[in-house]
Parts: sequence; C-alpha cells; structure tokens
Amino acid sequence: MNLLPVDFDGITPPMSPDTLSAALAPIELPDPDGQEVRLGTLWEAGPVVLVFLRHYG
Amino acid sequence: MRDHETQIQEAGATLAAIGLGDANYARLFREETGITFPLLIDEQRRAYTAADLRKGSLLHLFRGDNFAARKEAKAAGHRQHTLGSDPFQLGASFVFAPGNRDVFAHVSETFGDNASVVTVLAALADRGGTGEKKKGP
Repeated sequence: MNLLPVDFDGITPPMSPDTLSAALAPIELPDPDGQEVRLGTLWEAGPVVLVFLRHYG
Repeated sequence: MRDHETQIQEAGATLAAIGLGDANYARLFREETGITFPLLIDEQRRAYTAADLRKGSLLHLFRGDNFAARKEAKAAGHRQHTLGSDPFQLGASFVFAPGNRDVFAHVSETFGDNASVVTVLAALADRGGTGEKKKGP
C-alpha cells in the first residue's frame, strides 16, 4: 500500500513559509480592473505599507 | 493611511491596500477617494485568512475607543464608505520588505484600532524591523 501523497517526490517535503510576507507572497488577487497581481510583487523592489481594509472607506 | 502616501513615498516605500467586497465596491471606492496606489480585492478572504486577521463583534461597536475613533475620523473629513461583504472584519497594517522580510505589523483588535502613521514611518526609518510589532494575544 502506498501511503505517500502521489505528488510527493520523496526528497523535498513541503515547507511552510517562515514569515507572513512569505506566506502572502504567492497569493494572486485582482485589482478593480480585473488585473491579477501577485502580492509578492508589491515588495519585490522595495518596502510596501500594505493595509488590509476593514471596509472601503 | 491614504492621507500620508506622500510621507510614505518620501520614506522610500509604496502604499497598497487589500479589501473585501467585489470589483464594484472597489471601483466606487477608488473613484470616490481618487487613490492611485494598488487596490486589490480579496473576495475569497485568502489573504485575510493567511494573515489570520480577526473579526469584531457587536459589543465592539459600543466601545468607547470605537466611538472616539469614529469621531476623530469624521473630524478629519473622512466618511465611511460602503462596508463591503463583512462589516465585522477587522483590518491590519503591515510593512513588508524585499526578501519577504516582515518589518512591521499592526493587527486591529477592535474597529477603531488602527496603526498610527507615526509608528509606520518609524518602522520604515528602522528597516531592521525593531519598530512596533503589534499582534494581539
């Protein structure tokens, strides 16, 4: 019986990100025009102040 | 925070925001406020969930600090725009730097609990990440 996940290569176990920014970086969200933006691109070239809004206001 | 975009840029950073709701909410907000920085939409709450952001409750609405924050915002000329899909969602402010470095975090514990621009600018001045790192219990 094979108990390993089918996509596990047996060499590199999946690693969890060690910072919040690393966890958020791969997430892609659309802007109001429908353009997808990968969050990590926001702080790739320099620091970003990223605000999670409670509401649009 | 949007009133301080110039100061944030002068500190060598950019400003971006994520909101719940849909594209119509976001477009309306962008048009009404005239913001030009990136505004992203998280309808599925993927980023909010990854950041482990909290939700408020009805009790929070009647807290004195919430009342004071609303009064202060109104005095500054702000008005509350459309609430979006979840009026109890609380916000947060972060500063992230290249290399996926977390420099600053302020996670709201109640509705009026927002990061002050002074602490955000201090964190930008001190990129080592020794500025405020506020995260609730």
